[in-house]
Amino acid sequence: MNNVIEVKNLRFSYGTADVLKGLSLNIEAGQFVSIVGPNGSGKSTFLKCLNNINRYKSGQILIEGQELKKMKRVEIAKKIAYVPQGTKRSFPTTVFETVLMGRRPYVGWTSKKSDEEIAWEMLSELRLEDLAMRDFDELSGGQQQKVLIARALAQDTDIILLDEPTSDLDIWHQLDVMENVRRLVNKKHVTAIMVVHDLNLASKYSDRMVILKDGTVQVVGKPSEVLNAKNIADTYDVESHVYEHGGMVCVMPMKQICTCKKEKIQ
Amino acid sequence: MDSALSEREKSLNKARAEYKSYNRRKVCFMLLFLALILFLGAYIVTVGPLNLSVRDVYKIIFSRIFPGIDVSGLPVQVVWNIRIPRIVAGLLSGFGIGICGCVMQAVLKNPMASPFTLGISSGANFGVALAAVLGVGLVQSGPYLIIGNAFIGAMVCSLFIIMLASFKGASSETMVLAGIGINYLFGAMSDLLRYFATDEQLRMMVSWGMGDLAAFSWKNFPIMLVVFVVCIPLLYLNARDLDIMIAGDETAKSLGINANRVRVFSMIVASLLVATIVCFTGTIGFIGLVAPHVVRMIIGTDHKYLFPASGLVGAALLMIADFVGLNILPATVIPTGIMTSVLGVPFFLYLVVNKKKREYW
Repeated sequence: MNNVIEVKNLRFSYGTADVLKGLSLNIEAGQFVSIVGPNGSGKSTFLKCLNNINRYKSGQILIEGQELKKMKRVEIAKKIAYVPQGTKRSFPTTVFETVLMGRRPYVGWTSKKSDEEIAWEMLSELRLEDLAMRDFDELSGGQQQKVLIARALAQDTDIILLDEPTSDLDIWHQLDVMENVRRLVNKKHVTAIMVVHDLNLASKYSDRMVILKDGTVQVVGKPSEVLNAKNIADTYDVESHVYEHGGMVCVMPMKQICTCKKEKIQ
Repeated sequence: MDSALSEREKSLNKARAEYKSYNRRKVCFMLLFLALILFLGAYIVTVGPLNLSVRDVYKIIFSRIFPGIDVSGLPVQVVWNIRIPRIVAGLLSGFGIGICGCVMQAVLKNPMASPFTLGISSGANFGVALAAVLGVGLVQSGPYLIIGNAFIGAMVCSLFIIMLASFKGASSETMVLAGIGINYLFGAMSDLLRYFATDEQLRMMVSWGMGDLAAFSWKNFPIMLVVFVVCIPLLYLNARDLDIMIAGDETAKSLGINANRVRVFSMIVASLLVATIVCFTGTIGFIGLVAPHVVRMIIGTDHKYLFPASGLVGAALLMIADFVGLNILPATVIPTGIMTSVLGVPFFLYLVVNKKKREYW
């Protein structure tokens, strides 16, 4: 097994609210992994632990065999790229400048010609060359997401984390983003780890799915193994119709199992 | 397939060319303002209440470089000890305050931030009030009582805010909030002293608070220069990180930047720089807010250019405002701080209302 990420008994809390409660997970290199689960299950928190934006307290994360806690931010940034949900900036930045930021872990005070070349290459990889000199904030959500993916590529890492890249996007752009990520995983053999709400998108595109619930891993496996009515009922308290269509497992949510679902008070 | 590929090749080349000319425009903009500053300095030095010809003024200036030229008397005093220090003061203060505005807006991710967001002015005012009313200060005598107190007040106030915010992880929000709170506290303490002050003491506080470049003399120059030479390179070294900081702390961290450390470091250095300027010149605040905005509207956010250009625009604005304040009324000098706001605010509002494209506040 060639595990690029090994997580053992990871715990994390915001103040007194425990979010991750002993989460363990191994991720193989070159796979597209989707993390799903109910709101508040700790998906995004977990993602941010993986590149130390959230500093975890106990447990262990090994990145290519190295303990994450002991790595410097710049070292982490050379191994792991992070695609945040489209963010609003306080000041305008052009698309090209945004992509060029991805070279930050490698450059000294200012970027070299070769860094600019890489940024141009990634822009054209995602077919964004026409937008290069536009302000990032002027773009649509789908375009912004692609620019952020281009930046992650410019960062030249083995691992890319994506935080709900398809939320807020129409179905055309959802497919566009997913196709791009899938293509990059196939072509460049990067490992992509994505937090996503849409079970069908996850099922269609990912190699493996991880279901989180209450800060621990509920199930891991291929989409066809993970997605079944029982798992979805256990995780989401939702009754669903799970069926196959064109070799792909689809989930149609039918009804809430308990309408008085207790919102957890912690 | 081939034609589609060459089509993309074409638009890629177009974008590259655009980027090149965009960067060239930025350099041109800076050269333009550099030329404007040189011109302003060269012109302003020839104007003043003492009627001196342009020839005489430059004779005096060149006599410093070529000792053979024979000049003497009152004109030398006026040019060398009054006019030139004032121009240098305007240039340095405007440059420093413009740069600090640029840095603080970036690390606080807040277009409303200025060097005075972190309590520099309220702290300095309190220091001056303390000196004026109670005669309390670290340096016990003479003009340095006020200057010393202004500096210490400004530094204490801003370091207090930075420390307070650091307890809570030094996010930009906590820093702005702590700044506003502490500003009120120091403002209230100054008001308390003002309440008990005599007329003479009040006048001292008020005239200092308005900001006046005339207070600057050659004696202060070495201190200013040392602080500039230390602080500005330190701030500029972080300029590249500022580009990423404005995209948010999470993004900054994921790209290998220790966002909180950069923020606290930049704030301390910028506070030191502004406190040094302010203690000699009084509170000239508006430049720090407006200069970075003017530059950003014209050449964009890349801090490699935005940073020095903010300084240049700040210097030019302050020199113009001071020149107008000196000469608009016969035999009366309007304090620099008042003039920068009177002239600067309408200009700033014009830009805000008329901006075509860049929407960010």
